[in-house]
Amino acid sequence: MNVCLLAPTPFSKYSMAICAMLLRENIELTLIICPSIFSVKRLITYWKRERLDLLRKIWLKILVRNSSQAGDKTMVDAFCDQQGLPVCRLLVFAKQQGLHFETVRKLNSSATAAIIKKERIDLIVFSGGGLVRPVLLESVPIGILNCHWGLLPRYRGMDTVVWAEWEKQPTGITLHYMDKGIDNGLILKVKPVQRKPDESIAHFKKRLELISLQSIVECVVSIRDESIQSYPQIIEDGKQYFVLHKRLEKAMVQVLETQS
Amino acid sequence: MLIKLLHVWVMNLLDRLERGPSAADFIKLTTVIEPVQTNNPLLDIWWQNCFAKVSHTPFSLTELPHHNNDRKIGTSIKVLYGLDVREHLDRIKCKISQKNPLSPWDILIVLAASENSLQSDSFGTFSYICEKLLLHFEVRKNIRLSVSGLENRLLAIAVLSCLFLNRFEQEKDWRFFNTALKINDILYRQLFKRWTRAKGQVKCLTAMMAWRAFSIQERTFSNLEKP
Repeated sequence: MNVCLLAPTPFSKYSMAICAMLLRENIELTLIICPSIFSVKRLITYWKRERLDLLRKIWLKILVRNSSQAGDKTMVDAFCDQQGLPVCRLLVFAKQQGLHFETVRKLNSSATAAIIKKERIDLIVFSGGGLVRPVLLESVPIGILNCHWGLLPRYRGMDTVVWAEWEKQPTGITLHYMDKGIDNGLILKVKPVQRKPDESIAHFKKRLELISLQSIVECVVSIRDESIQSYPQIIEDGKQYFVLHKRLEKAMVQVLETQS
Repeated sequence: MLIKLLHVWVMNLLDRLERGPSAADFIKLTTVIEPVQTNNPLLDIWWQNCFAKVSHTPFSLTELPHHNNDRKIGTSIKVLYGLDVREHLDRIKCKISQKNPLSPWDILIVLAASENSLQSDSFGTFSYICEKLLLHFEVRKNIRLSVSGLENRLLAIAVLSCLFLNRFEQEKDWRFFNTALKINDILYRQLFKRWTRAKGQVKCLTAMMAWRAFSIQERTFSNLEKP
């Protein structure tokens, strides 16, 4: 089974860790695709959607790559240190491991689909990089694997961890295949994760990041071993949630953390 | 150490830039847009009701403003009076599903419908319209209108915000409150810059709706942030 990884940027440590873990599990990772970060169109699209969050991401994920220097070490950083996983750019890692690394101008294009077909990729692991359109969805026989933060089908969309906590509902992660809609493809695995008493929302999110990293790798292994079955979700069982307004998010987090 | 300091400075700067209008800003603007002279007894009654019961302002089709001198509003209301709520909702649902633009009066009808006790079939249509409007605004950060002009756009977003806040108050669905906050931020900026340019009864209605939306928003936040 040939696997491809879609990474949001060449500097993504989360994607880097997934790559290293997949190789450790003897998964045939043959291709890494990363959309160009210097695409004006991509920047405009992101700016419209995320505004100042985009600047924050650029600062945190590109300019201050070694976040421990900024005093904001994530659990993924600690996990990489503990497991002895490499900390470098994806391009450098791909060269070291003899993997095909491709920077594409546009993720959802026939050119990207052609690269995937040429490499005879069976499964794509999605670790960020925007919305995936049919041109890419149709380029792989198995599908595009995504890890959604939130329990599907109940919580689709954005900021679902805070939304679920606010509605006093269980939260966690869901591994699913992507499709045309938003978070409504076939479900592979639902993994509830509970916030610990006194745990802050920020810490909980960091913990979820590490859990989703490990779960993606486990899921790819299960797909290779054909020990996992996917099932469809009933769309009517859930709602789509949207990005939280900053003021509301702050108030909600404050209430949730005071309650716990 | 230097990077850490720089990091803190950048994060604080981004937080400051990202901060929208504060509670005080909203309240201040509410007092600016408050004194609107309408010369229309119906509107004045409606306006007073807004003051009296911010959360339960009685909206109904019969209470919609009507003024002979304002042909545009008069014609719109006349058209509206020709149909009942269910027919209006079906008409608006049809417009939305065909991706046709709405008029501010369509949204006002949905708002009026939200204040009435709807039968189950009408409620289904009403819920569908609200969900679609929510999704549409979140995706486009705007609404598609059939009429041009600043007044109409201001009125439409103010009414949409009121509709979402109504839905939030009735269903306790915080998704609607969340989107209403985003609309209120836009409404605040538009009103702050262009309030003096708006005129006529549309201005009056916008003032009512904006006043109502900002008031519900701030009241909800004060309850939420209460220690």
